[in-house]
Amino acid sequence: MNGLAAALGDRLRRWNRRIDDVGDVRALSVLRILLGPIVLLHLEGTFRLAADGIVYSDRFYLPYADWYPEAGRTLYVWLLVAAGVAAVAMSVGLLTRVATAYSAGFVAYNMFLSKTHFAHNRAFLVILLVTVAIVPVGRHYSVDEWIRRRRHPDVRPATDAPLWPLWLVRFEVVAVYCASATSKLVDLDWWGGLMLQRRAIDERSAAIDEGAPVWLMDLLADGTFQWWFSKVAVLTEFVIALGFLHRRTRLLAIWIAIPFHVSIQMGARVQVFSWAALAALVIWVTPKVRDRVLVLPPGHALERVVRRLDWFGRFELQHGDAVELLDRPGPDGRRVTRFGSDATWTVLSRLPVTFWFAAPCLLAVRSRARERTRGPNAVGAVTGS
Amino acid sequence: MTAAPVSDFRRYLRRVVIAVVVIAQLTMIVVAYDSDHKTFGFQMFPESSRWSAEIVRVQTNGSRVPIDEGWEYRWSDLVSGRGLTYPSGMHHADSGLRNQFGYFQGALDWVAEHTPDDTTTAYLEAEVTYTDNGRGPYVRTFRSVDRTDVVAP
Repeated sequence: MNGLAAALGDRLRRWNRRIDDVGDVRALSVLRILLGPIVLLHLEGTFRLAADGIVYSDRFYLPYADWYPEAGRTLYVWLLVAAGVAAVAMSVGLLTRVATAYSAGFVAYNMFLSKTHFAHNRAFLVILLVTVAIVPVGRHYSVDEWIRRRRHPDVRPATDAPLWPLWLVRFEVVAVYCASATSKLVDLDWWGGLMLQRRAIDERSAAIDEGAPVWLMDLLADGTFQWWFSKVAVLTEFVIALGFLHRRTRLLAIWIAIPFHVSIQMGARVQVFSWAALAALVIWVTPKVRDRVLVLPPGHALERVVRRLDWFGRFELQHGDAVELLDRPGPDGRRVTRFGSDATWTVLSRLPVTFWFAAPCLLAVRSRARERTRGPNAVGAVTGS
Repeated sequence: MTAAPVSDFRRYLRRVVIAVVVIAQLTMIVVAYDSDHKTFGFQMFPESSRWSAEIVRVQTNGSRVPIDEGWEYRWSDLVSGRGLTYPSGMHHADSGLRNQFGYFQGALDWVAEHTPDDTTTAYLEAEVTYTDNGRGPYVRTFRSVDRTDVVAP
């Protein structure tokens, strides 16, 4: 018992220290860029109605509280138009602090105007918007930064920022996955497959009319299949959530989360949830830059790839005779030097665009390397302190 | 990642903000199990329940008139979204039956209070037929607030 209390106390002290950490938050700048179109997509229906002269108060709405301030028709339309402008400005990084704060403020205000405006995907969007509003996300990939460089080319501003908002949004994202999975786990209809089976039965005709194969819809309407599939679905959410929490399993969790959300987008109407959830995966990027050194022969194709796709600034490029990657320390604290195909696939598995395809290839390469290390002529990764 | 020098006030403030957000989020997740709309409860894809509704205007003389017959208003102009625009069709309760029923009661009340040109309807009534994840069908009746202040004496 004392051991448990000591371990818990140790963990709490470690978390307490990490609250004051600072680090590079350029991954959140990428999130900022992605959130702009997502906000516009989220507000699309509201824009269309406003263009026809209709605002929320013209039709049934259900306020959360009487005291909540409601904008009049004209003001609401102007606030809405400004939200569209702010979403674009947020994405391109123009007056970034103002644009992110306004986008977060309006989307939250609009959501709380009426209970009919609430949806889980919108709450999730608000959480992400508030995060980019309180973090200095205009220092990278922004018009603001471009203007600053033009005016003060010799001044290099600090790129580090407090990381506590990042820790907080990570908690929120894990909470979302865990809450969703738990609600299904404790619901016997869900856990037993009835919910998914009924959904498939109800949608069967419409899905077949839209081109879904009959055999697929028959499979989805099968009770035994859904008994198993519901468990896979619930456990997948838990695996993603818990996988995010640990450095060793984080890449696997992200890798699973991508097809998970793509399949949800294809199979269900979830408004902007899939896009927001996919965009939110960038919060799991380690907030350090240039912590891997990639040595490449001059003119090597990988150099162009890294220069274009290393949006999170993970690699420092150097020229040398061969492909070599001085990887960051592993969980055991030792740095690893990787060579050849191991280095190449490790690099590709850490770039956002190539990650999903390269990660399985990397596993295959490492698996083969491990087999070779059992032989007398072992080559591949070298670890060092 | 290193700790940056900050004032004690900021250090305390950060911890307060984090504690408030964490506690509020966890509370909302728990409270959602007993709320209609499950705000910030993140219970996604909760049910495959379905529903449809027949809405009538109950006149002051007791007669029951469907909303698509002889009314100064059109229901779909007054209520839109959340599956409520055309209630007579069968709809998926995409955020669960409780959520849908909450909207339904709200919609009836709102329409009752926002149709001043209708001076003959005493109240609106909706008979909702629904299935609960395939079980049923069941029937539940909702009634709007009384329109005593707008109906002709």
